[in-house]
Amino acid sequence: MKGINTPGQALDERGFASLPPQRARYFTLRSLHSLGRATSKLIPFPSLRLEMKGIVSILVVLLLASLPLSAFDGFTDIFGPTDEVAVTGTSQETPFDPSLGINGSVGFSIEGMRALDNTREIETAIGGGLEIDLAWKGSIVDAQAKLALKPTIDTPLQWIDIFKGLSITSYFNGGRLEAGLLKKEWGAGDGVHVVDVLNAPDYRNGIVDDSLAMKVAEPMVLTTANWNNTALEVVYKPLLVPMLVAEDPAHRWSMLTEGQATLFSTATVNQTTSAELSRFANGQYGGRLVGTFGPADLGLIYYNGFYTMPAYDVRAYYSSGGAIDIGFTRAQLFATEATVVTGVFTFMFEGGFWLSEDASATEPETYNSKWVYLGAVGIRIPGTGAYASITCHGQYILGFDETNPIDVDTMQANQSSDGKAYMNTLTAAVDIPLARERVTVRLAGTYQIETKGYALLPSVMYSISDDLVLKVAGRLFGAVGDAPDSLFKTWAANDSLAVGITYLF
Amino acid sequence: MKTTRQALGITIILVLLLPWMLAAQETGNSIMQKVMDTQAATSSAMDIRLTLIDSNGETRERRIQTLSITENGLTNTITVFLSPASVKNTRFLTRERSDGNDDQWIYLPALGRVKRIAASEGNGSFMGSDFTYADMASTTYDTQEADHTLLGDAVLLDRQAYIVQSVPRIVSPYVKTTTWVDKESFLPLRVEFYEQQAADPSKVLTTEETALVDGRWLTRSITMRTAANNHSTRIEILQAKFDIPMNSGYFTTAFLETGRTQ
Repeated sequence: MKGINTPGQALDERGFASLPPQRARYFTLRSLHSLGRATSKLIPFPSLRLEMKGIVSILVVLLLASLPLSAFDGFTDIFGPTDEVAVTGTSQETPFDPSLGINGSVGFSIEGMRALDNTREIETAIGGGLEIDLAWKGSIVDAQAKLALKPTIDTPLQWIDIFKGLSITSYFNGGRLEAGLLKKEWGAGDGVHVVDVLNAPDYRNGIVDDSLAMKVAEPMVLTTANWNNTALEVVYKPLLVPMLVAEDPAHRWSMLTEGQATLFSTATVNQTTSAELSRFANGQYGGRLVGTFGPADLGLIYYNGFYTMPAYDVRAYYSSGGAIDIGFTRAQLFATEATVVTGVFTFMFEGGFWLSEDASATEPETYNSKWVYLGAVGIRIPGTGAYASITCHGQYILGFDETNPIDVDTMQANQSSDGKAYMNTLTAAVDIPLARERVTVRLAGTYQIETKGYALLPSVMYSISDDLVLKVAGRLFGAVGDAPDSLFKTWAANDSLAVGITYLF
Repeated sequence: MKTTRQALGITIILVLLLPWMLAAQETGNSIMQKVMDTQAATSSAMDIRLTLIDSNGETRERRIQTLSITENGLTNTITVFLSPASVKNTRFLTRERSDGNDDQWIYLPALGRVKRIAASEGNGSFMGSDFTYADMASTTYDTQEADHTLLGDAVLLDRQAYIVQSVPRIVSPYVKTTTWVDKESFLPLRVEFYEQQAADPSKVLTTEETALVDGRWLTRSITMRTAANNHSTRIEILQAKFDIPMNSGYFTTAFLETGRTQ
């Protein structure tokens, strides 16, 4: 695999750039089908790490300054500290008592996969580590730090992997104000969304059965006002944080095809710098209004931000051998979400319109406007305690020009939806508790209709005790029959089986 | 004088017979109504420990706290799971609607989000215990929900008790229940749950400890045993408060998400 010709980088004797330094960040040209988001090519991303580091340092100071605090530990204002039946008919509210809450897990896992060189050997990846959730609760201030120390043999720890969340929340009458590195979820769907826009996705480890782990904690300020059965969230994000993918083009979770890797190894790529990503003009903002109306929860969303996938201007490269410029497309999302419950069924809907800065769909280097949609139904299976859901989601690109191969929308569609303007994906999941919840069987699968690509994520968890869990999980990727290129087809060699044990505290 | 003595004699006889007469007037319905009345409250707060006991005697503990408030005949309940660590800080909010259905939301701390869900299936196991969700709400039926028949009296655990058979008119996993009701406290001392037409109960609830606190009878410890696998679950009321002022902010999705009434 050839390296990336980063500006200013020396070429080797063959005229190729060497591989970038370890742990630099890249974005790839491959699109993601199942999750309705596309990505683009390789961009080193070290400077944003430094930005994050600075923010993290500030937040640590603020967090420490907000002591003493505590975590939610039951209704301490109602119940006394001793276990005894109290008198009735009187309220014995106890005064607020700040304290510190610590939860977390420590674990070890080993995941085996076939070697990529077709030697039939098994490669193993050691995982696990320590996760700690620290929470303080004061009279009007909360602080939270979600830390992960999960070293791997081949990659050093980074700030972005250590701080999964770091925030301070101040409460006021009828609402709250949160600031820090946050992960938030918008939308009604069961783990799959088309309107969940506040965090960039993280595909460096492919697809896992933990939707929160596949999000990048982003710096943001968010305020929420509650009244009656309604909540209004308003958010501001100062940085443009693009999606994360496997950094090494030779990595098994890289989203690059071989042809794309060759293209970008021979081209000069004008990188997007951290300064550009953090310009004031790149600030993003939005709001979400959610209310309860009878058996339904309904929401409205407005968001003025960016598509998180980079867009590539390859016109100069193909016309004169010039550089490939990387940019990001600003767009506004107008969306709605709904959850309707009837009997054992839960119906979920999301729908929205992304209005691109290229509303006329005339600029090949920016993404077009598009419709996105999602419909899902969940059911509690009677007599079993099991829950199952099925989701269909997709998008339709407006002004799609399939005759223009250098248009970013066409490039994306060629990678993710067999060159079509529309893209539809089915996702199903079932969660079955057995043996009085000692055993949990989970199966999740997704099928991208246009490319016939699929991913299956089965797992079995056995609780040796309440705080010690053994987990066996698999990941299966591929495509059905004579399928066109797709992400899942690219990952077909990445089928894996993992065994891990986790202690919860 | 003779007339006076006769009147006095009749009065004494009536007084002596009064308890028996009153008792004889009790019906299945009236007894079960008193059971419900005894446990009724405009608000309640309970700190509960569940101990799951398998047939080998191995135990697992769960700790929950629950608050309930009834306003205008509609009950809102919030339940917080405190342990084990895998479910800690999971929070459920249930709001009863005027049409008889419930709205239910769940907060999953691992995801950090509140999600609306379908109301819990009544006969599904509660936290892997021998109690169903419906059992957790009540192990007896009110007079609108079942036909109650007084079968007789008995002495159970040195307590005088009524034996009442209840055949539910509502959808229930049980075709009938038989309840031993303490004549003094009107608390259930034992409940046998029958499924289908089985001769033996599929589950048996036994009250192990009661207490009289400030004139109010409370059940402090009960155990439900499932006959098929000899698995049982003990519920201990560690703390309980009734009819206390309660912040309505607890029964909101905002509290679910933040753990604060704001």
